[in-house]
Amino acid sequence: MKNINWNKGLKQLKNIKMTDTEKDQIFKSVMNYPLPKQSPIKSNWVTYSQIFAFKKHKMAYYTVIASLIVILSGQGIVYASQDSLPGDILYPVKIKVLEPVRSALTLSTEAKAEYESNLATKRLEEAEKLASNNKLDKDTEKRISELVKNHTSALDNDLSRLNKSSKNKKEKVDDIVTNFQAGMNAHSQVLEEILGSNDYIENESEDDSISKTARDSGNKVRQNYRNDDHDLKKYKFKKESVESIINSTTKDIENIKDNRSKAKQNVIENTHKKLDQAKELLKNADDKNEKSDNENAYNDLLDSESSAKEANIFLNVGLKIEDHRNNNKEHNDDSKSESREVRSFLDNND
Amino acid sequence: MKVNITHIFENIYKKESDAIFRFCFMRVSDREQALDITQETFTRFWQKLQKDEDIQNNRAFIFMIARNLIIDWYRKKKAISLDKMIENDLEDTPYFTVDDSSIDNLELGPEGRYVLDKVNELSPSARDPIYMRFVEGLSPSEIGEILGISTNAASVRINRGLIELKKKTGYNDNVK
Repeated sequence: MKNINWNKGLKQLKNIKMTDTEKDQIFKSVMNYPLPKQSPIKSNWVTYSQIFAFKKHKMAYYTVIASLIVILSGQGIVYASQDSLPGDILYPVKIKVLEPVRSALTLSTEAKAEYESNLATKRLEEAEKLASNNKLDKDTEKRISELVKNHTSALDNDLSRLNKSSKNKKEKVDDIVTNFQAGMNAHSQVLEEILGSNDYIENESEDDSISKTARDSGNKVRQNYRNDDHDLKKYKFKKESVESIINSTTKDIENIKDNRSKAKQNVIENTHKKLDQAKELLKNADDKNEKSDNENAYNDLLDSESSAKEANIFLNVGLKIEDHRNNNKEHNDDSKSESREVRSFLDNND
Repeated sequence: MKVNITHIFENIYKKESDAIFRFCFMRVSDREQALDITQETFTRFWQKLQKDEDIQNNRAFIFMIARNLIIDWYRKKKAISLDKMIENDLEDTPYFTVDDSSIDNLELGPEGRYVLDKVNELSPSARDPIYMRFVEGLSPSEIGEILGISTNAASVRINRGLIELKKKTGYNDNVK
């Protein structure tokens, strides 16, 4: 009974309607309503109100704040990771995120190849830093060797693409190859010097020693990408540049003031050896050029350039590391003598 | 384009004008005022259509405009104590109590009055959902959109209102 009442009540409510005249009137007046042509005048406070409106949407607000924090702290991490060494917390960020991203952002193959070559050199520099602080263990060495191999294979890919792309790039390929080989050889010798003086006995048959990997990488790239097709007109120009590298390195040696330490003498001696090698190769190149064996002459010239560059890099890096080691030694000696003084002071007081 | 939106408007007007009028009339208890608000509601809807603004559900949108206009009308009128209105909300204002004589104008029978009385007895948060669901036949998602709450919340309010209604009317499962 009550149910019927309810349904009836609903029906009665639904019967509340406008009359037809009212409906028509409203429809007409709505349809004739003019659309405002002018846009409303913008308040001066609209910018602020938008900021507050944005604040009201909490999710969006927190998302923006969070992304800002991530971006800003991310930049800090990027900056801090640049000088990290293997074993540091940020080192993986550097080699797994930062460097691949930079490489991906580098557009031209030429620049990519140069970047990979620089990275391989950088790995060796890191190994040198660790070795000079006696922190280079077997695992790290293995890891750095792997990284050098990876950079070399990436360089290999880039160079093969560069070689195929156009003939004009051949000279650039020669440059990259020469620099890479010189860098690898020079740094591996520096590393050997450091490790040798640390009483580190290197097992030559070991495949994962960094210096061996670096030398092999340099030789591999040289063998694969030494072009036979050279622009022989540039022989003279190239020869001049090799001579200038030899001369400037010789001058650098003459300018070394404090050359009494044994380690420095060793560096200088090795640099001289390399320079002699470069000069000999240059002479060979000239001989072959006179005999019109142009291709071999140019190849010898490139080898000479590589040796000269190697001598230059070896001298600079070797001296820098010796200075660093001497500073450390002095610091250690100072602290030892200080502690000795403190001990004697304490003994006297007792 | 113009023809198209005129056609859309005309269709919606035919279908919904009575429901909107009824909704306004129930809340403002004044026929002339209800007609005014209905006209204003459809004018605003027409403007939105002309500006080609994206409207997801026309029906819910029109109800939302009407509801906001009624809230504005109450604010201006201030006949009902503002204390009763919680934060711009209509929920506290009962249906048809402003002017009892207007109920007579409706020519409602005793059953209609009974339904209105029972709706008014409901808790404020359940009044609108129950009215919209059972008198106007709006879906929970439409009710949610009109009231600015989620579909789930709208369903919960309808269900709670229904339980309350059953208790007050003594029905078991007769209210459908």
